[in-house]
Amino acid sequence: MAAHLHDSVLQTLALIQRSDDPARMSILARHQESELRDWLYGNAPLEGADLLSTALKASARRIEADHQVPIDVVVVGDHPLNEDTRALLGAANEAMVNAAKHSGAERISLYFEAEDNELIVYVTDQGKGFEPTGVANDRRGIAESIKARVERAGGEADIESEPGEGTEVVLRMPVAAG
Amino acid sequence: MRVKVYLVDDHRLFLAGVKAELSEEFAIVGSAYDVDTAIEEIRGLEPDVVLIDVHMPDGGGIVVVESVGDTNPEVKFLALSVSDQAEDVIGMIRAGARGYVTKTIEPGDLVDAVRRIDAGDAVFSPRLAGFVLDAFAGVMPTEDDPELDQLTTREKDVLRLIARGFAYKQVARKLNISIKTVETHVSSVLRKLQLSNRHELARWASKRRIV
Repeated sequence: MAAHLHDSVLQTLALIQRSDDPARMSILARHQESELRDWLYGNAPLEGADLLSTALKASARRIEADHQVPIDVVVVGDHPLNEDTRALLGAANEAMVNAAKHSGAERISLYFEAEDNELIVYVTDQGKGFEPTGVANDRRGIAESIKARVERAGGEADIESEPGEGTEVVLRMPVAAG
Repeated sequence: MRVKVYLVDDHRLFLAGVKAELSEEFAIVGSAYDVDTAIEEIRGLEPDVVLIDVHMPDGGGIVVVESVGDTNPEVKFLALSVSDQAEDVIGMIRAGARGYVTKTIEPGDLVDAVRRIDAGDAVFSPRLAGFVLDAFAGVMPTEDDPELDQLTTREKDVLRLIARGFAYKQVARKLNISIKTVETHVSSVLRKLQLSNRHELARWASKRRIV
């Protein structure tokens, strides 16, 4: 792990020196930073994670790298991954990818909270937003797909958006009181 | 009159960068690379706001915040760190810092944070808001001071919106309250975090080492 890390830090530093694309460099530096943190603080490897919080963080990190938009993740409480919560995870991923691709926002927030009888995920961006009731378009189609995914697993999804006001996707999933 | 700011960081390059970013807006009255110099100079210079790093040799930022707090309680601290480990964040706040931001903060946001701290308000990053919600989650009121050991519904609402990435202004609009009221709620949460005697809080923080 240390060898891999040293190598990837050096690669990143070399890239930064050769690049003239500050946005891309900033994402790269962020990625490197979180990898270094995992190593320094001894976090468990993300593969095979069986907790919703870990899975959400891993997804956010991957989407952030793929789409070059920073995603700030805040997690309160936790819940095991099972069939229902995987649906929640899938819907959250779709919401994040959607925000990364279409919102034009400089950053995206992912907030997850596990309450006694409910799990809530918010995917928030301060981007350009869209008209949820307007004519069918790409973003509306995705919104429908997010809803369907969560509803099939017994949860609900709300998508709030207004042109110019950003978008917030709220996903809720009931769970047995713990 | 310009706000007097003092900087403490053992990383010289970083300190030079922050100095450059803030010097247009504020009077940078001094800076230190180590704990002892920082304590001595802050006591002499009495700045309005001190930007303080967390991890430094000889006890780190917590020692500076506590030592200066004993002699000069009017000096306000904003913690600025690469660490967003719960125990560092909660530790600095409980030592007396009025806010905690990470070093990846945008320069404009840092300027805002310093102004807010100078005005006597608290500065919560989304991450800190999440930590506080987590730390106080499911807490039963104790006999000593039930008010201090729990967050009100409104305080939780405010923290959740901050955790979702909304600025104070947007939080105010969403809850239909004034920005001043948002600041009052955040300051009250800060006070609870600092004064609550629950040792679970410290235990929670050391347990929660996940970034």
